[in-house]
Amino acid sequence: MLKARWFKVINDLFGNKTRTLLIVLSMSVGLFAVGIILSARTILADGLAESFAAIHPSSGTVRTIQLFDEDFLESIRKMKDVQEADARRNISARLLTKSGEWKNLTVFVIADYDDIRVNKVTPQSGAWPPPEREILIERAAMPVIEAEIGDVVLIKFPNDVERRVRITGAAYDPAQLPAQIDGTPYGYVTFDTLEWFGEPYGFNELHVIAVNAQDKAWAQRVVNRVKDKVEKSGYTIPLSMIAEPGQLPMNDVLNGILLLMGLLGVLSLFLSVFLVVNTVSAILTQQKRQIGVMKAVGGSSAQILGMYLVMVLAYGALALLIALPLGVYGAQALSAALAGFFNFDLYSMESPPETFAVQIAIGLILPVLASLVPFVTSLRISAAEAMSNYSMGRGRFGGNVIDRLLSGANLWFARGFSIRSVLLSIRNTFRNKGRLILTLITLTLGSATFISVFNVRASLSSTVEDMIKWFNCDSMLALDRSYRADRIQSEAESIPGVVGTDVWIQLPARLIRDDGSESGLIYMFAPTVHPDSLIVSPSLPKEDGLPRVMRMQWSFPLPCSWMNLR
Amino acid sequence: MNSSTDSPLIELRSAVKVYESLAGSVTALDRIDLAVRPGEFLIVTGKSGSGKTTLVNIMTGLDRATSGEIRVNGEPIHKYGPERAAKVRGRTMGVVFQSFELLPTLTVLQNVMLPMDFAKRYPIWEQRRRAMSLLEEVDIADHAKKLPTALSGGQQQRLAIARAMANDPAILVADEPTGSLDSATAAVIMDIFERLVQERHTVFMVTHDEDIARRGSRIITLSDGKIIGMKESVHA
Repeated sequence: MLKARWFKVINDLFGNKTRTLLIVLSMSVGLFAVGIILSARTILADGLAESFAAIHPSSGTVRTIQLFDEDFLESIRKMKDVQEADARRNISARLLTKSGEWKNLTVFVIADYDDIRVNKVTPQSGAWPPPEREILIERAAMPVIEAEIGDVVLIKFPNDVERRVRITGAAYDPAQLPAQIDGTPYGYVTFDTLEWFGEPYGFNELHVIAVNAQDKAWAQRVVNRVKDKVEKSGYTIPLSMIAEPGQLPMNDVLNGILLLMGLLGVLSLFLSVFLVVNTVSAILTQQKRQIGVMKAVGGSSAQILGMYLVMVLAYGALALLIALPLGVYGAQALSAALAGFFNFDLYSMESPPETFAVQIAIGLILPVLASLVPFVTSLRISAAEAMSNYSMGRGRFGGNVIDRLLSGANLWFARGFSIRSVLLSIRNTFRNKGRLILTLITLTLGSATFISVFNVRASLSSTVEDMIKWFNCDSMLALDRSYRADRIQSEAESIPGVVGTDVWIQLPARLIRDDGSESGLIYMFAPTVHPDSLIVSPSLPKEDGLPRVMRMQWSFPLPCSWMNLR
Repeated sequence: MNSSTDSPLIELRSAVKVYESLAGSVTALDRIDLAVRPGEFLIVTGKSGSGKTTLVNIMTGLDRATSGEIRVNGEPIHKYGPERAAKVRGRTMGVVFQSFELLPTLTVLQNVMLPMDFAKRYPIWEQRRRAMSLLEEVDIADHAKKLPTALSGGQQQRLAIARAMANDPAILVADEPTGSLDSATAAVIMDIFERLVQERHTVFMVTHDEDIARRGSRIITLSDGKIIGMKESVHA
């Protein structure tokens, strides 16, 4: 049989259903946000790690200008500290979409689809391996090229060969940036098909896994040794990349999104805690007299505090009932959406037990801790005062500087106006300063959450706009080799409708650090444009902002590798 | 009824209560000396603002005296903090208020059980039985499952008396218990008090109503925080 005091708690909880619902919902929002973020982080991190491990990720990729064959690949495989190596042909092409737009397309040519040793590509649907004169498209690229399996698409190659190729299936290649992010779809064909495209046999992309690949510095040294061998063998390396161990290409982007969501989750949580404290304060103000009565009939502060803490615990428990399943469902939906967007598979949708533990701890402990201050403050007053009909706060108002500032004596300038009702409102607002501060914190947190969301949005838009200003052109052409700038500009400007051109040199480069190690790939742009160019508005950092010593290493000089048209 | 030579249940010695505010100090009780003897029906009367309610508050420990001594059943509650005072109050006194002060979200029965729950004097199964018995004594047992708001003013005050008697206190303290009632209902409440006194309980009551005050065994008159008169009633 329940004790009488618990009947009061239960009746208070369910007697005012609207109030209970509001508190529970406000707490649920914060708990839901925490649950969804924590669970999604784990689901996505595990999915990324497993997806990554499953493909036998490369430690580094080396691109060559000249083509190499299997014998050279075999020699790389036999190198010391090279765990595994594989090669592909990488061809840039263009594909005509249904809407009539030419899209860039990267075509990978793989020798043996059943023996891909590094950066594995796996079948998703349709034929495997792709039959001759047919192509597989990376699954995330299908919407980008506006095509489906079975469609025939027109592909144009740098050698001016055009081929109508049937899409025979979809492949899954998580080692590539998803097509909807970098805008480049990927296709996969066999060497037989390559011949049909009019291209010679041979590889131009080498993928290497170093022994002890998890050690990035070590893996980089191994890849550098591979590069040395490649260069000594007479091949030119226009591009090489060192992979971040254990991370897919879009790991940083995903982490950025999750970090932002995490911050919003924490803000929501703080907001809901302050809402709870505010509501608890309101309940205590409303029940002040009842607290006095309970004291009058023999209730100790500890007993009464226990009743109200149980009430807050009940609010938390009810909020958890809503937030836990919603958090699990939300995390699954969010994880699936993000995994789909970033193009990797999730192997498990299970929310980790730690998430539930954190949610339960936050849902039950945080509101109780947050409520202790208003509870203890309310219980400290005597029973007589609590039951007093005159709630003037023991005459506290009027005693300090703020109160005196709000008194009529200091508002001489307003004496000619009828502001009594306004003054009444203002003084009432400042009568209970603790409550005022609490309300202001709650409103501030709510506004901060709202403003931060819009600020992030505005900041992103502004950043994108700044980036677009760099390339204020209608069309950008990346050239496959070097051209004389004046000649190619003259050619372009002779086309009707072209009002201006700029040419750039774009060079892949690496920073050589003081210890001789090399940085990751840096794209170095060398604009040859006039500062008042309408097309390109480079905002280069001031000289002081540049590193003092920057020795750039590139493979070949080009007068022009990039042209912007307007 | 116990003899007047018994040690007092409640004893006040030079009890002073001063309220401080920005407007200045107000002395609500000024050096009150008073002893409430076992078995008596002591009624304090006086005009509004004379200090009657302040007297109830400090002798029950609901508020602290500014100075002086207050002993309840020999315990110096003037030295006690609110927690200890609440325990003494729960064990020794039952308090009845003018506006009943019932808890609106508890049923009639649960309102009576609550002081027993706080005092932990009776086991939980005994609390229910005793609460029903008290409700029968004040003739509202039929309403046990109702909420207080479903009762009339007189019934609510009877419920408040039953609640005050929940822990079988040595003394019942009532602050204007008939103040919110019509004369007929007030007479019923006074009958209950008299019956309790006859059953060897001690009742301390304050009222501004001279006619009601006459029903006490001893009557004290308070004015401006001072005792200005005391007389034994013919009923004593």
